[in-house]
Amino acid sequence: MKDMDDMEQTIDAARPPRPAISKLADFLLLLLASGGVGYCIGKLMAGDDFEVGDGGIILLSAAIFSLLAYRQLKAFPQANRKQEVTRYAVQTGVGAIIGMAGMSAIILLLGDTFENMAEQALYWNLAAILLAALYILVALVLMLLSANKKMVATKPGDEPLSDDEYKDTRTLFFWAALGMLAYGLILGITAIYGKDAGGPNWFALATLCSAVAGQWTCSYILWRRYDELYREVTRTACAVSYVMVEIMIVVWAGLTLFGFSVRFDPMAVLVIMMTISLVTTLTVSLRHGVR
Amino acid sequence: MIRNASGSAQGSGKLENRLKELRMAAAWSQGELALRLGVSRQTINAVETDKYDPSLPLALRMSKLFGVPVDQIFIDHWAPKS
Repeated sequence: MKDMDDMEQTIDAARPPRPAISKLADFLLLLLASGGVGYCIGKLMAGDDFEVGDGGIILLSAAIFSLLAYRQLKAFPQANRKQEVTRYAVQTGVGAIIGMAGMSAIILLLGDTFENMAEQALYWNLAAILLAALYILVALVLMLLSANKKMVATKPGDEPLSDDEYKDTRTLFFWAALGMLAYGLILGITAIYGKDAGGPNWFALATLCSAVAGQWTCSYILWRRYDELYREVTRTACAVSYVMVEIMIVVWAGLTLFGFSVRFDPMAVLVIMMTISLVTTLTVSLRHGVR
Repeated sequence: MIRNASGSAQGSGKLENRLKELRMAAAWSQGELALRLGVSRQTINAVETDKYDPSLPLALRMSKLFGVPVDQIFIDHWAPKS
């Protein structure tokens, strides 16, 4: 047992010290996450209704806490772990108080504006348009990349890129860009045409269905064309996204059934699902070394 | 629990592998190896950098190609409790 402890300490000692900027980033993230929790506690204490955006704040805070806890375990030396955990707890408490105070001040100053936006469901439309723009931007970047041989070549180990590989990577980027563009269209169409729907809008529905069909086609082509790494990334991203959406729906159902009257419109569902999908896919791809 | 340099617990994380060593010994580039195995170069790179554990069929193909048993390409530190 003692040998193992010695071994752990030797391994810990071999790790390079964390740079100050990394510590500062962790501290700011912790403040943000605990501020989100503090805001929600404040809202509960004030007896205000919970909205979907609040669920988003809780999910974001939980994600930041998990990330920091993971980094904590990975980065801090075993010998100082107790000290670091205490510091982490103190920072969380301070962050919660700052978050509660800050959010209360914002609600006091801008409460009516937020309320009006929420009543007209404007901020979800705005979020959808921003997310659509992000998808379209990523699609354009991928299109540009696919046209440039130097940028396509990631060259692990400085190997030259053969013509076949270049062609293959360009095709991958092209279909991925089309898929992203379709996602952007889905969000954009719903945000633009969904706001003032006075009656059935067949044009918007047909365009949306075409975009969904286009996205599915791109995903199918990519699935068929590329190898097991791409399929593993797709499978993992789908599974993680599904679990996250499932948690969100369970939390929403629970809050609604327990009388917290959560407002949850279709645009909110779309924006949250697409955000989860985008973030999960990017994270899983990077973790598997797919750039 | 013993942790390796990357912080993951031995026996519970990804496998270590000797793919790069075997590829270098055969004087193949990642692209050449990918072509022989029928996968993308990104897959080979992801396996070599421990970001992806290949499927069993691909591991068996690697074993046949290099003429080395699978457990000499991929090393798992797990051992049954006595």
